[in-house]
Amino acid sequence: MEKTKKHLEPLLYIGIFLLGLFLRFCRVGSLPLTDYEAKWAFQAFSIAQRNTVGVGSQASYVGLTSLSFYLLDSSRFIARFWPAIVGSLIVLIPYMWREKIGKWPALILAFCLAIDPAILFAARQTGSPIFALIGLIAGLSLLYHKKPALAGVSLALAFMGGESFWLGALILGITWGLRILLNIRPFSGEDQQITSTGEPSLKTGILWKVLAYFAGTLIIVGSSFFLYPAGLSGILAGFPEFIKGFYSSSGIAFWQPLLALFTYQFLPLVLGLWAGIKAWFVKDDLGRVLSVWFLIAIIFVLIQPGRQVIDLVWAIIPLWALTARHIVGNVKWFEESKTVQLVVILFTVIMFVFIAMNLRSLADPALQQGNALKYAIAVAAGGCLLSITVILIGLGWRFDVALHGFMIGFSVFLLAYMISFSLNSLGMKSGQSAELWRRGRNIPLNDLMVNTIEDLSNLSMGEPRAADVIVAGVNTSDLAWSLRRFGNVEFMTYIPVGRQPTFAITELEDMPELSASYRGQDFLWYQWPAWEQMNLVDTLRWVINRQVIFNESYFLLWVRGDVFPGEQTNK
Amino acid sequence: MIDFLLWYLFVSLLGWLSFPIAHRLLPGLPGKGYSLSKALGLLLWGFFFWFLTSVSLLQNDLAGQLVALVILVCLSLWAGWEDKFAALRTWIKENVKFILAIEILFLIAFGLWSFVRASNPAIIGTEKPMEMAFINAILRSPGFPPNDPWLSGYAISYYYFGYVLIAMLIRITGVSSGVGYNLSAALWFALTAIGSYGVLYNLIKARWLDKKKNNKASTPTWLYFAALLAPFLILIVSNLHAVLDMLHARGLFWTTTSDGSQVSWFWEWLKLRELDQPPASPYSWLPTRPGGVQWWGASRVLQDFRYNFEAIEVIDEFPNFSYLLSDLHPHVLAMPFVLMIINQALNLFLGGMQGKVKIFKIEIPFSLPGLLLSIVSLGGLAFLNTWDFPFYLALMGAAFLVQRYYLQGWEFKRILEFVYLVLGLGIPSILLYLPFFLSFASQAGGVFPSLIFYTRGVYFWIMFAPFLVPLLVYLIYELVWHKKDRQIIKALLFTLGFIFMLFGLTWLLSYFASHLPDLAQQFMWLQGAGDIPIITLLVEALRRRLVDPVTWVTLGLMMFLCLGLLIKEKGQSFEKQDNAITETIFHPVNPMTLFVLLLILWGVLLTIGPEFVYLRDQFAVRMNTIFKFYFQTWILWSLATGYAIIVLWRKSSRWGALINGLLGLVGILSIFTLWVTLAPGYLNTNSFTSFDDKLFGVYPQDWAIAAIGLIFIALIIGTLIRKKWLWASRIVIIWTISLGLVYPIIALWNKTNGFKPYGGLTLDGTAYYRQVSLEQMDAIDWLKEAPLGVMVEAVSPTGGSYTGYARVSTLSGMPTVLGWIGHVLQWRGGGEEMGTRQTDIEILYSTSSWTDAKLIIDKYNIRYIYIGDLERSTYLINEEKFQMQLQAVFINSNAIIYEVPAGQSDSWQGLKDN
Repeated sequence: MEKTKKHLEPLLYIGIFLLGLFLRFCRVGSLPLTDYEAKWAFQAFSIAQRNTVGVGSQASYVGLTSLSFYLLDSSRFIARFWPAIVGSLIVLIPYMWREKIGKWPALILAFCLAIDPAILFAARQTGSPIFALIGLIAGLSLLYHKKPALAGVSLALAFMGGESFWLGALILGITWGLRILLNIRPFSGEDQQITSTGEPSLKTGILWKVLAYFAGTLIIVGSSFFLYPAGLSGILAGFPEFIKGFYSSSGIAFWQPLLALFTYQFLPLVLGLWAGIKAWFVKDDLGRVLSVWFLIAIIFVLIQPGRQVIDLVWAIIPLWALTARHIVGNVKWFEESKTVQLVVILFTVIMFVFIAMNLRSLADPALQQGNALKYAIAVAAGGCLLSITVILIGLGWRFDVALHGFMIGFSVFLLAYMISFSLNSLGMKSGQSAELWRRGRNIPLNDLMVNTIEDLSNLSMGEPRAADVIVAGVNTSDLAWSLRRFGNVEFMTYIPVGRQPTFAITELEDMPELSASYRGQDFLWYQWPAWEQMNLVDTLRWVINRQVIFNESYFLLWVRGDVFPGEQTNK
Repeated sequence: MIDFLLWYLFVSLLGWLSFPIAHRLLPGLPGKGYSLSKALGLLLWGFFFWFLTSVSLLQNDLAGQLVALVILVCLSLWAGWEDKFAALRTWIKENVKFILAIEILFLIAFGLWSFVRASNPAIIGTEKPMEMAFINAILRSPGFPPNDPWLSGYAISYYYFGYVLIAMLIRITGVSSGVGYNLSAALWFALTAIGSYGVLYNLIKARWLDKKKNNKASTPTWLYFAALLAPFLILIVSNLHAVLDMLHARGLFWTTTSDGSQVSWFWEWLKLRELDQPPASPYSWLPTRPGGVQWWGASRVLQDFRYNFEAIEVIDEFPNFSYLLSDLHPHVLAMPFVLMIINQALNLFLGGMQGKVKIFKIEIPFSLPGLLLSIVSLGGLAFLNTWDFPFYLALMGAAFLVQRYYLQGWEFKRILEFVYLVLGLGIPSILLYLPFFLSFASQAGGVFPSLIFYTRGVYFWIMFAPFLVPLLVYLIYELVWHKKDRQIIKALLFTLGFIFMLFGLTWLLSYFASHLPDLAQQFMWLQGAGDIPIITLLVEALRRRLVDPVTWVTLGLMMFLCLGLLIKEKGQSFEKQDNAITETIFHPVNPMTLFVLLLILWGVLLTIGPEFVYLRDQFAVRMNTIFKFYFQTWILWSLATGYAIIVLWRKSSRWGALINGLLGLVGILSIFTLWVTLAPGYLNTNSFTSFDDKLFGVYPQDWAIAAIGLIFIALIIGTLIRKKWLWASRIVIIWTISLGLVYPIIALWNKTNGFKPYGGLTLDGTAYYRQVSLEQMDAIDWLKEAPLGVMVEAVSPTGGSYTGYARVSTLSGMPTVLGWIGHVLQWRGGGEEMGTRQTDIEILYSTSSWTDAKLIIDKYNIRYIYIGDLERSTYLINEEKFQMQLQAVFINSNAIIYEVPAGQSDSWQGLKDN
């Protein structure tokens, strides 16, 4: 039996890892890159093509992806491959700390991190803080466990992970400083344990190894495996970006990270905050450190004018750790009243689902006036029914059984609610999805425009990517990325007099010089949620059914008349 | 103010980052290199960034700079590893006063000169636009070597390292390049101040500690103040041109003839530019001659004369002038690093580089890190101002030679050691900076004999009197009163032999030059003796030098005195302690004095050299050689003078100290009087120049000036009567140096308009351009943000140097097809690269044919065509072709910019193009 238990734990971790892997890779190549993602992907692509580029702050991503592009194909899947892989490794961090925080809390933490929507989103986006987050935490964990080689590599990848690394380092550094200042010892007795083993101390032995691997990784990955040595500049490009974040606005409002926390992370927010406050009363040192970490992270995410919602990942990890410890320590299963407890759980879940469905109907913009009252009564009735039922069971059977049953049921509902958010990021749901974590603008009709050009090129020249394309007055990485496979693309300020390319892409404006001999078709290119225009009702509506108003931006695709059969033009 | 603080804090940070390196690698210096740590930090940071970018391992951007900074941090950690940080802490605790002195001096100097620059900030005139163009071009270039801003398609062919350092500071602190330009001038002023302070502090502290034989003795307070002499002498004291300017303005030595014209044998004999003309009436002590630029004249004391007495302009800048002018020229930018190398030479001399390195079984008696530091520093100097490299490489060799000579005695091996060291440092220095040398086309074209050209004695003394007087007094004092074992005969023979050799060499070279088919005509033309037989020219050149032998006799005397002190008796040696030399009772000359003698001797060699030979450049005259050599002499002699003054003044009793104080007071009083005399002229010109009220028949201003002179004369006569020779010398020294302070007072007020700048106080050097034409600056600002590409603007038909031409490329950093023609020719050593650009640009603007214009556009890969007021006034522009074929991407009432729609790979592939 013991043997089975011994094998069970690694198996569970493997299972969670595979779940994480599945969630991160599922349809990862099907969604078009946002303009922000395309910026990084195109940098990697340019390096793979051995072109000169100005490498930005995401040196880890660019370094690894450029090699993948160089060896394989420059597809969307490959573009998002490395963030997804690195993002999957997050489940192994709790495994490293299971001795310190407990086996079950570690396991729950691993599971929660595997399905957490914020971390999942970060792992499915290029240019996200995933390298910085996982690299830094894993690196420090490995350093703590005296694995110098992996620690060096991890820390180097984090170091090249963009501005988010500096934010994370600042958060962890201040947390560490406060820990010392407040004399909190989360793992008491550790110092003696290390010195008593007689192993080389961190200062003398391991540090040099860590530094060697750190420097080696910086050089190898930073230079894109020597494909582009000047890329080493990107190693520290995140630092000025990070500093810039303190004086330059990103356009993200102060309330957006808070909204994300309350909607996507309601379960850990409630349980984690509860656990964090409790830790200060019961003098739980680990809980106190985690709560300080969470608080510092929240403060730094919020105070920066250049804040990004996705930076909340720095706060989510301690929040989940607090939550996991709380669940194991406080959720009770009453063996003698298991049937009753199970009934309460099921009833609670059903009632919350019922309430949620009615709320969703209430938030529907197409709701008829007469039905609103009906749904509102249903919501209120559901709430009342649930409350009365729990109270009656508590009075009639046992109050603690009813309360714990209700708590577990509510948690299960919130977990399901959170999972639905996570599934949103997979792009499996139909319709437009407005997610606070997303950075950059969606390009929903990317494929349609590229396919149109390919089809028409094929029609006129017999080759889908042989036609000449001039992109005039538009100078974006996402267009460059979209048209990367075309052999004859020129980016210009305007179309020179006398030039008549087969295809021209311009902004949506009147082009008299083209309209005579070209046919134009507008394409929806950018689409992004109008967060800044939302009022309270809109916000509630988004919380319930994810519907928001979108801003849109169009491009015009001009096709020379003679491409179409039976038409002639003056060349 | 924020910009100033940012620079101050960042440079201070660099200093603290690099101090562990200086502390470890310069152990011979009492100050452990603290005074040079800021310059060292800047140099190392700049070197790592430039080198890694040059070999395409970094990009020329902020992130690349940060990577270089991290390397500096790593180096610093290495330097302080193990027990070194503990030693560092101990040293800091024991030297808090020294650290404070350096920091206070740095802050005051930086603040003071920032204020001066804010009072006179415009980046116009002389070569400021060129330097601004380099800085902006470096900021915009994606990699190194940076784009030549005035010759598109080529890299800068100039020693541009100083501009890289400035661009790095501008970028990391986020200030505009216009502000950065002026802050750089102030920063370099401050770095020079602390660098020179450090050299003198090290010299006198080493001397003082040596005397006490107790290294742990605390430093006396007077030493911190005494070391201030070095920055004072280098940066404030100036040549005596301004004194003569005052005398001239007051109308002294001028007489009016019967026909009403004014004549003066004195001023005609003096032959100083502008001052040989009668002064403007009414007379005043304030030089206000019409058309004259008072602060400028001091940099043109010297003139050369051809055989036919035609005058040739010679540049003789000195630091106060250079900083006042604030052209960020390489000779200015190299100053803190020159002082750093002098410190390193002192460290070498004091045994601070001792160690063992084995390369292919050859044992070199130096520590490898110390050697590497010297290599990086010397190579950096070659990149900063190539002229300085051989001087200071040889100085390091000479410091080692003298040390070995005194420790081991004289033998031929000493020469070999000198050669090995010079080669061992020189070759790697060049190799380390090879990417620069590969892209650098030197304008130097060999050596020319200076046959008819020589420096008149009066010029030489006007130029260097504030140093010549104290140094001669000091050398005579050391030789006559102090050193008992002087080697007069050897020194005399060596000096005479050396001078005769130079005479012979010049005559021989001249003779050959006049007979070489390719050179003869140019050589004779340069001498102003086109049809004159060479023999006649040789005789005339000799005659002139014999009639006016003051310069070479002065220098010969100094050389003789130096050698008399340097050459030691056979068998005589210094006490050997761990390969470091210290004074013993057997030898009366302090080791520090030996090093100072070396500095004086180096100045002598630098000034006597151009009397006989000079470097042949684009101008083919002595102008640049004198300029560069005299400037270095100023640095070397001012350090030596500071040391000499301290030694001369420390030789006094308690009463003597009191008298010293009084003398100092007289000096200060004299300057104060001068200021009071001149100030009304600056503050309220009318009340001064009218000379209305007389006091006992003499104007009050005349009384004040005369009083100063009378006090000094009375003091000198008094001390001479009492045979107090040393005291008499001290008074003469104070007087001479006081005269050297006239220029800073006059020039500073003149240049800054009494600290009341026309556009108000600002550090932004481009504010002037904005005031003149806001529209033009709007167009330039647009270009600064536009993707990088070749632009074209008007080129002056007459060359355009020192004019407003090339202003767009200068201020935007965009490479233009052609800028100042004269400068392009100088940098390239010819016009081959320039080709037909001047004509092509004219055709581009004026032709009505788009085909012709397109050919030129394609030829130079032009992306932006700029049409502003200057273009319209220079060319008969045919704009229709541009209007028909191109789109205007920027239009305002002053300027229009057309863009040629070429591929924009550089902008869309990357996030930035710098």
